[in-house]
Amino acid sequence: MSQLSTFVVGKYLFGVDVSLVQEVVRLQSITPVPLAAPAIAGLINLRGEVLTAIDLRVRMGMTRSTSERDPVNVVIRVDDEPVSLLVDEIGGVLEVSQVPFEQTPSTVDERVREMLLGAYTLPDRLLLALNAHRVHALAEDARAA
Amino acid sequence: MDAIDEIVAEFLVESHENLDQLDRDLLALEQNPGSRELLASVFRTIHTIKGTSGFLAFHKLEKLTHVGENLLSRLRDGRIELNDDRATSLLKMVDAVRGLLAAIEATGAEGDADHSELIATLSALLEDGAAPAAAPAPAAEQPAEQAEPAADAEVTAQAEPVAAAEAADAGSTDAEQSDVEQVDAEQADAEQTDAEHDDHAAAEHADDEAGEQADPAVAGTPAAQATAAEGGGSTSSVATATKAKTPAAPAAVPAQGAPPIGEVLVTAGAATKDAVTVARMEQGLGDNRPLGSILVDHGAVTPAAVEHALEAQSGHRSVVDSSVRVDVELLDSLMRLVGELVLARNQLVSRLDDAKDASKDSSLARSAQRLSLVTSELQEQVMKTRMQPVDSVWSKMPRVVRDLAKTCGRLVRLEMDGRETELDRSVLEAIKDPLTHLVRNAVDHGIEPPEVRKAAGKPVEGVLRLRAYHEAGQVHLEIIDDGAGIDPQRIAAKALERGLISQAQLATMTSREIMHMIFLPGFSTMAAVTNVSGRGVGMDVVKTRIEGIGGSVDVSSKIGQGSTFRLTIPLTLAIIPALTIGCAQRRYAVPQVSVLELVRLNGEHARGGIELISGAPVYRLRDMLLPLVRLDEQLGLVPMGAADADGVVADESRGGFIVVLHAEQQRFGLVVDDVLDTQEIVVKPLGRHLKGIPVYAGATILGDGSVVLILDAATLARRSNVLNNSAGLAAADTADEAEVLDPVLVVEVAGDRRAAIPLEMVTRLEEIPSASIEHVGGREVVQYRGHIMPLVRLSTLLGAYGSEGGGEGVQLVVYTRGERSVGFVVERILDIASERIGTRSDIDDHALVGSVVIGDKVVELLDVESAVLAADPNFYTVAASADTAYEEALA
Repeated sequence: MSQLSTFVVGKYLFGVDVSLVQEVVRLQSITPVPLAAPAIAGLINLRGEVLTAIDLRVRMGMTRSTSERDPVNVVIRVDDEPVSLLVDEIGGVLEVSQVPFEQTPSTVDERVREMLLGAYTLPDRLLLALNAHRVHALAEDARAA
Repeated sequence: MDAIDEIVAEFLVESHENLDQLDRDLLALEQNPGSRELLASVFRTIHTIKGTSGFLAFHKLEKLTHVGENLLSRLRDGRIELNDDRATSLLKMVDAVRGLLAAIEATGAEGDADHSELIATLSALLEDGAAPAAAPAPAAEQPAEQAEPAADAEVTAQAEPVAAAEAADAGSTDAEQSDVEQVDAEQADAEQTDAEHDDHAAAEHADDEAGEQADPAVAGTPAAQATAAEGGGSTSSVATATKAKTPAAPAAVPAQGAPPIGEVLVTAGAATKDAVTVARMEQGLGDNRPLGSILVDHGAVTPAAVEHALEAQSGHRSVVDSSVRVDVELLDSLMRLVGELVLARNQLVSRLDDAKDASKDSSLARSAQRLSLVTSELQEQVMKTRMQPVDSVWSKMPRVVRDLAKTCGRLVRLEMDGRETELDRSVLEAIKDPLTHLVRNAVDHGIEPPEVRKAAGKPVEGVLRLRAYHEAGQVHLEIIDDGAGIDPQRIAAKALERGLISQAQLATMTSREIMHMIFLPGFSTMAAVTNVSGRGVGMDVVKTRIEGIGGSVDVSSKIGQGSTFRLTIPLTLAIIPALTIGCAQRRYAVPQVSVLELVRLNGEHARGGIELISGAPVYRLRDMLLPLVRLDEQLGLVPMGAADADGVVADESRGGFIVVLHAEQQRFGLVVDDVLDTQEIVVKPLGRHLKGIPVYAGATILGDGSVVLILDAATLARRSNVLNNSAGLAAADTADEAEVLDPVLVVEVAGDRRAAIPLEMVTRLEEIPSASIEHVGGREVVQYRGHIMPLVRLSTLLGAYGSEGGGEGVQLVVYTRGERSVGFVVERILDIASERIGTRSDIDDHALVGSVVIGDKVVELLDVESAVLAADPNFYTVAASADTAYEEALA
């Protein structure tokens, strides 16, 4: 993966393989699902298709967004099932083949570390590469727990 | 390579269909061993498979079917009789063929299954019949009509197959004529498929006898086909191509009732009657060309017109042409699209409803209504394309029953009622295994061995009946046996032994509840687990599966007389009517099939009406205790039991509704904040993160585009333990017993809003011309039977919105008391339905007494008294007096 689609969650810049991203939409209406895992923000209607939205802030152990603005849905396709990731801001697509890549330091909280492939050290900040499959799967684990 | 794959795929599809037919035929044959027709059909099927498998180089398949075919051919010739062994072996062969086909489908190759034993058995069965004479005279033993062609074919096949092709061309004098004839021959082929098959068979048979020559008939060369066609020369249409020399057979008179070509041409206006007559006369004089060619020669018609006419003529075999094989995936995607269309329609309608007061754009409303109608129709039709008769599952049952009865030593007659009852294919798929299990169960556990039956004074042959019928928008399937029945005592004992219930629990259980314990996991009343039923799938799986698709299972039984298992199943899974409710500022949908009635909690009936029995909320509904489940608690939106710390319902003043649901034959009330409406919803599956939450049956998108979760009634009940609540059980039992029929007239008020009028309040139904309505002081009246009858439009009264009175006639429901009558104007009279008393609910609304569930729709129950008063305030007070204010006014 040499191109990452980037987005901001909290103070961090995350990236996910651009080939996984189906689309980015701003939707106001999310139907919460009682009894679901906390990281499940709810259900969204994407042109007639019902998608599960995962709140990436909660997933990453941050507090829920208090922003007035509608969250941005990054719809990614994992294992052929589209799922939406709620992020704060969408960034651009970055070419990272020339950027140095580091493993995630072991000091990072394990639950978060699991979801990261590693970090690209951009000149001005870190770009955390998300493991989309783990993000997806973790939501499942959390529900089971 | 692709072309071959395609041929193989087609071969597989065709063969699977043929095999199903084969199973049926063989079983029918057992009942009626002498039937040549059935034997011929079986033979044909096997022969076709054999031929194609040889062509496609599936040698195992070819070898197997070859032996089977030999056996069948002898059976058909009457040289050996069909006995039990032979039938069993033939069925085994069908299974083996099926196995091979499955292997081919999965891997493209035949696999390494060994069938030599079966082949040996089949061969042995072949030999131990009448001694296979070296050269029997098949022709003599054939039915009369086949004797001739068979002999013919034998000669031709042995002598010179190519000659036949030459013969076919012999009559041609020029290219054009040959063309026309070709068409004739093809048409004849298609029309005579059956006859030709027989002839193929005959030809091949003759061939066999001649001693394993080449197989011209199967090779399918034109020469061989022509041979066969000539073999079948007794049918006149084939004669056009090959025996046109016979002047008596006028060209192109098809055998199966299609009009003669001349007639077609005349009808189409391509030729004059005279020209045709002349041509026919020429034929009579020895011109052996087809009529079409003669006409073309005469310049009476163009060659194109003849061809056209031939096509039109062949239009008669419409049975073949009128159905199309469609990929199931295409249907599924069509269904999805229709689902989207329904959603879009709902959205449009809800927008229009919102806007209806502000801007009444009537043309837009009309278009929307039209769209709505078309969409509903389309939805219905598309659903129909997915419908399949229940027979597609049942057709496997005779075989299941036969094999099982043989194994268990039972005598069972299978009867099937309502084979044509249609279900959505997704539903059919889902009920296949449970149904099979129930059937096996009935044969194994239900019907007793013959000697036991004899001792009990019953006929030795047990009867297993399968019934299917539609009722109230659902499909009912019954599996009825006349066996030993289920003994509640034994079930109770078993349940105690297995530790499924305690003695104390048992004491409080009704016999019905005891009976239902057979559906508990880990329950099996058979002392010994046979290899028939009791292998993994049990009654609990049956129940889970059926409930998984929104159905229910019921069982009733009389000891010594038999048991009945009743499955109630929705027609389709994709689009369902649902009730939308509100809870904690959110909306949820409940499938309408689970909803019995609605009860409003307001005023003095507010939540104060909810009482607590040691913390468990109940409601007195018509003097019965209804266990309650609070949706907000169940969804974890408020803490459990927070309201009842002191045995008092804290939020007494809050209004709300009780949605009375039934799940697993029990009633319970779901307490919600609001009841919104009923609509058709498209069920969308939930993503995998949410699949594990059983409270949700799926999600749907409402008209405004918002996503709404669909609740699963059975899970809600289970979660809150309502099902073990004896109050609920008692209530359910009483409700069942108290089921009294109270007929109501169902009318359409406007749009799809419906109202029910108790039939006892209806005196007459009338249709009057809308022009006859007169106006008196702002009220509508009509002269009726010498009196003046005030009218009341139910749509206005009930505040319904829709187009009304557009038509020529007006539908009236007349209520007469003494001399006075009132007419209720309705859009349409729909039906007379029998309302279940228990389904009435108490919505206090203007002119409504409540609502009832009829079919799968909530219908408002009209308060006739207040409706009458709306039309005529003095109706009841001066009922006796005839000279009313209206008459005075009119005079």
